[in-house]
Amino acid sequence: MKLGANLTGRYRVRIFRPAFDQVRKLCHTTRDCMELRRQTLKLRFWPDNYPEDERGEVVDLNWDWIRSMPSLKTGELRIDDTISGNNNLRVIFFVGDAEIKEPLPMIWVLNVFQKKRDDFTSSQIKIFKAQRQLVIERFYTNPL
Amino acid sequence: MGSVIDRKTELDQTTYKNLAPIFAQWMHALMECSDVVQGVVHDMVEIMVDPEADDEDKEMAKATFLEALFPVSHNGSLGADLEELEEEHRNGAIGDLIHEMDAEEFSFGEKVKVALVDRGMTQQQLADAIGVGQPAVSMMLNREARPQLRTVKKIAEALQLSHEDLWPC
Repeated sequence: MKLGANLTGRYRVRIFRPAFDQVRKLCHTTRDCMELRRQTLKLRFWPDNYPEDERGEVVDLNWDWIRSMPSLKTGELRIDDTISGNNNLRVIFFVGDAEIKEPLPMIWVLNVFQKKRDDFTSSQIKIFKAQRQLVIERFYTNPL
Repeated sequence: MGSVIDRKTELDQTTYKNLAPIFAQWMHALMECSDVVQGVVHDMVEIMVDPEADDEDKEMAKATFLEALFPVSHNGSLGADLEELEEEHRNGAIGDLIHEMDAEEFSFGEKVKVALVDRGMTQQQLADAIGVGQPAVSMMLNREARPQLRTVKKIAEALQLSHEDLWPC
């Protein structure tokens, strides 16, 4: 079967290497990695008509914009199930340029981690911004 | 300048000589980066050496720092497509696991469809009962999206079943 032939949803979901490394650290078994991957893949059904100041649902998961990154199209997806003993798992995602399609526009998984406090730390915000910047620079502006 | 010489004299000379080529490679990688990426490297270094930053944040910063300096491509471009990765794995070592998960989702979808018919319930009524939209129910019943265990439990409750009846434990 040709890869990507079974296109469903509105977006392709791409994972950034640091997020991939985080998943491997968090998941103790391959099944748990696959579970987390399939939950994350729900981002392909993320709604097109999102208002900038709103949260919402994608299938049976909640998402919210990161308030301290206004207008940067960066949000958090909340996973309710405990996976590999990790509760409060968060998937940090960035909605890429809708005009660039392969063959659908892309949502980027920047980070995956267990959220242990209500707010993000200033370091985490700096890291998410840096990761978003790397994706823009290396995929959209000056591709590798 | 004096502090640089002091640091050099503090280091074991052999260690210093061994580290110098590695340091040169890293400096070279940094110099090849665009201004934007150099800015990212700078920000990540600040977190890595910040005594106030917690260890997990430092680890995240380190991973981002490494990606900035030494990007890794998959099939020729940045990052990896999650659906393509799964298709690549489908015929590999974890193919059996992928088929097993597919079978769980298929079995769940079929059991819920039967239960809905038996109870004369619509997908919309089930969606209302568990607090999601009808398209979400449709996706989960038709294997487009894997339900969370929490959702399986809600569906089981709405259908007056045990969640073990719908999903293997």
